[in-house]
Amino acid sequence: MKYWTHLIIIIALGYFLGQWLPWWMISIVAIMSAFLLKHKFGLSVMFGFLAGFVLWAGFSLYLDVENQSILSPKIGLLFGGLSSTAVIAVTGLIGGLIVAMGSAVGAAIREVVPNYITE
Amino acid sequence: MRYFKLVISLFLLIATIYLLSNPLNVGERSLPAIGDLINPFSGFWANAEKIENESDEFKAEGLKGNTSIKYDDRHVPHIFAENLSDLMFAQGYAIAKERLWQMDITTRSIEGKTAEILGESALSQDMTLRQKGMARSALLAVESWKKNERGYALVERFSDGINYFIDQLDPADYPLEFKLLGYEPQQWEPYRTALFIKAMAITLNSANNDMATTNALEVLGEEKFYDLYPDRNKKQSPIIEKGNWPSPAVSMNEVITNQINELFESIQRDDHHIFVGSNNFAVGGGKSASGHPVLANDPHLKLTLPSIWIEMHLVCPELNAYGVSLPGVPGIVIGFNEDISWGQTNVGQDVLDFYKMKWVDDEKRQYYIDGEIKDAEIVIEKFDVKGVGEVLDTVIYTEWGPVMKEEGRQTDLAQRWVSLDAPEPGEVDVFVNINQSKDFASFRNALRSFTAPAQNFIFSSKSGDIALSVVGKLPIKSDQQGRFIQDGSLSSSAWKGFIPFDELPMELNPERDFVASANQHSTDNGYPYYYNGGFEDYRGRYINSKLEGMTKVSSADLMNLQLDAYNLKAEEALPILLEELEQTKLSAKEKEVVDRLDDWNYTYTSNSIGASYFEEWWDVFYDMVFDEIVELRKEINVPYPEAFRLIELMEEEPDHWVFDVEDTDEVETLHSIVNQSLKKVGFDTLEVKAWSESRNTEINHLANIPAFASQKISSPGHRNTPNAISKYNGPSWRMVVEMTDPVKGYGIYPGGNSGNPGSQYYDNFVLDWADGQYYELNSSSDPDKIKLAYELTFKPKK
Repeated sequence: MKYWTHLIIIIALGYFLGQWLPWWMISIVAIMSAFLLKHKFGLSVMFGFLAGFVLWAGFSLYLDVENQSILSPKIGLLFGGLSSTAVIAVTGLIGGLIVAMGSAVGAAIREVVPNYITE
Repeated sequence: MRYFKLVISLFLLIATIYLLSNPLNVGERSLPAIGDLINPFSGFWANAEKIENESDEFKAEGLKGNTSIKYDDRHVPHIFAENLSDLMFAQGYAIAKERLWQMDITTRSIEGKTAEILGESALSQDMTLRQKGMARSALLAVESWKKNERGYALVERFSDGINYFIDQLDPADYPLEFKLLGYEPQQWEPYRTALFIKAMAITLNSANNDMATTNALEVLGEEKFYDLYPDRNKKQSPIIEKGNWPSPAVSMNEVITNQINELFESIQRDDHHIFVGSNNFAVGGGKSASGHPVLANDPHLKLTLPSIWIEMHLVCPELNAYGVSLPGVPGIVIGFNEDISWGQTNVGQDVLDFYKMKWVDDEKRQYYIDGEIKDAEIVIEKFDVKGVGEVLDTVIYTEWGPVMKEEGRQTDLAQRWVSLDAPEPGEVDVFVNINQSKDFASFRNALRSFTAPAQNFIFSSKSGDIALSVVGKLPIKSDQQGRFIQDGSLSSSAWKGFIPFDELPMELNPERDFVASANQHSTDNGYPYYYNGGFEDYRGRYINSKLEGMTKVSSADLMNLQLDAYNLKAEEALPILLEELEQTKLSAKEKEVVDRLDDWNYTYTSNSIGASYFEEWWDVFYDMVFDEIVELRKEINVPYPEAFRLIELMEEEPDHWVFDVEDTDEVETLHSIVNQSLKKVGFDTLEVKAWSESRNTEINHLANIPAFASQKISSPGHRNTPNAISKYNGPSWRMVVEMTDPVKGYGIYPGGNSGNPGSQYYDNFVLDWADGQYYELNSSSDPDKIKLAYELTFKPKK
């Protein structure tokens, strides 16, 4: 359950803070969430990746649909011939990667910080 | 182990964030920070415009009334304001909303400040533009504009509108190119409008080949030079046929030629006379089907995305004008209002001359004029180069103008150019004044303030007038003056002033009941003032002859003339080539080519193969005839002779010396070159594509980003035909206006009103344009008659 909570926190906070703050703040959210939810390293990384991917790929997919894919193929060409779908996938991958690494840091901190500090 | 995991994951996270937040240099290319770019909340995804736009309302300081911008289904803004000042504000806003990056990059280039954003690779181009004195002359223009209180107030309101838009932007809202190039928009000011006008002056009025011509005269000698490079085509059909020419106050008998007997080394070669041309024509009521004038204009410019033009409709109690604007200049530049219509083509007269300086010593800080020592003005230009820091360059200003450099090396040539002079104060609102004009008198009066780049202004009115005015600051020159580099140590080398406005060529309601211009000579030989420059006769002669024969002219007829792809040059040249050809000596493939050429109707349709064959043959033939020139050009810059001269020689002097090939012992004539040239093309093995594919027109993005370009344009036309499409240039706006009541306008340009590659309106006109279609232009002053897509409303902030 705490991993699904992680996923929802990332997507919700990532979406709202994303409008105002630089893109990397999502990794800070991930660190805090993984730490406070007392995550295990491996599962936290997996769910973190999933959350970041869903948020970035999902939001860009929404924008792409609203735009009827006018821009994404042009950006794909700029990146060396990617399709619209591939551009959305790359966006998702980068989002996933950042959140996964943030979650990893959060979980790793939890492993080194004695439990009594937060209990 | 536990610490190890933490250290590694922390390191990876920080490294990734660092890598994605900083621009990357991959070889020559500098990539923007990927994280910023790909972040769906503020990167390129934020420029993926929604298909459905939403209406919005704003409050702005300085507005006197309510203003609204209504976007129609083609994304053309129709601006309704309660007064002229608010209209200018809204026009600035509407242009910035679509074209902010284009406005920035165009003016930044002219200002010589692209290295600030692009780095060292852009520095030499920046230096060239500073050496030309562009930024300095824009400041001079603003000083002059300030003397025109109303005009200056209008351009300030225009700037306010642009800045109001800029101030609304979050980094996420910046146009895509700012994100890709990694920089921010800057505030607009009237100075930037002046820079935009200077950009047009460079494009349209800076052509010259003084160095090449001086070299040719020196190498060939007078006799051969004038034989190959006559001033005019004997078959010319000038813009203004027979004027009531003035008697100038200045003596016109002097000839200034060949003052400097030396060769000018230059690695640059002036190309064939390929210039940005244009057509405009209008017929009077006697010639039209409706009994009212019909006017047409298509300026041929470099085709780019975003386009140089933006279509809009301006309405306030003072005016109701529809047409195209330049993104940075207030008012409608080409268009029509409820009473008149107008348009422009470029005047080819040479308004940029070079003077050879006589320096006191090698320091080049002092020079002689009439034996007297003068101090040059030394200006240190600063460049803030991205990744490098500050770089300085010295520019030497003389009485003539700035001294040119080539490849960073100081030359001894000073440039005298009308576009560096302060313009009339009225320049700043000249288009607004035109937009407000109701008849020929007020239109003509507005033109008095128009100085540069010189234009052929066509005019027609609902009241039945048609007119053509050559307008601009045109120097008074002695015969041949300015064709060659002049002696800068003599004050007598100077221009003798400027042709007074009322003595500039003009015609109103001529007997033939049409007016037309297509970049040919402004006047017949009777015009008392000497001028030279770059002129093109084939389009002009063809258009004049067509108009001559037309009756009951409708808008559709003038559209067809704009789209006409008939080449008069081919009509004159090809029959001679075919006649001289010895058909018995041809291979099977060559025979097939000749048969196709025999059947060809001199029209450059998209799928014409005859047109492609002719072009292949003509290019080889030209180079073989002018082998002397081709050889010379390997050593030194000399101009190519004009095609009309070659055709003249083909018709009149088939044994002329130029047909002889220098390298051979035999004496060649037209006959031998025609036959040899066909063989030399190598049609047996050459793969020739149909015309449109062979011409391969491209509409490139302003920053040359291929993904944002529109390439492989399939369309008829050639630069010598009325539909003057070439590889990179073409009709940048086609407009036809019928002066009925109400006025009916039609127009199209190869682009779209939005400058955003992520918008459906970025290039939505391109295919229709290539296809020869026109849109109906809705110039109704009734806001309810606009096909409304959405609307932006502006209210005064109390």
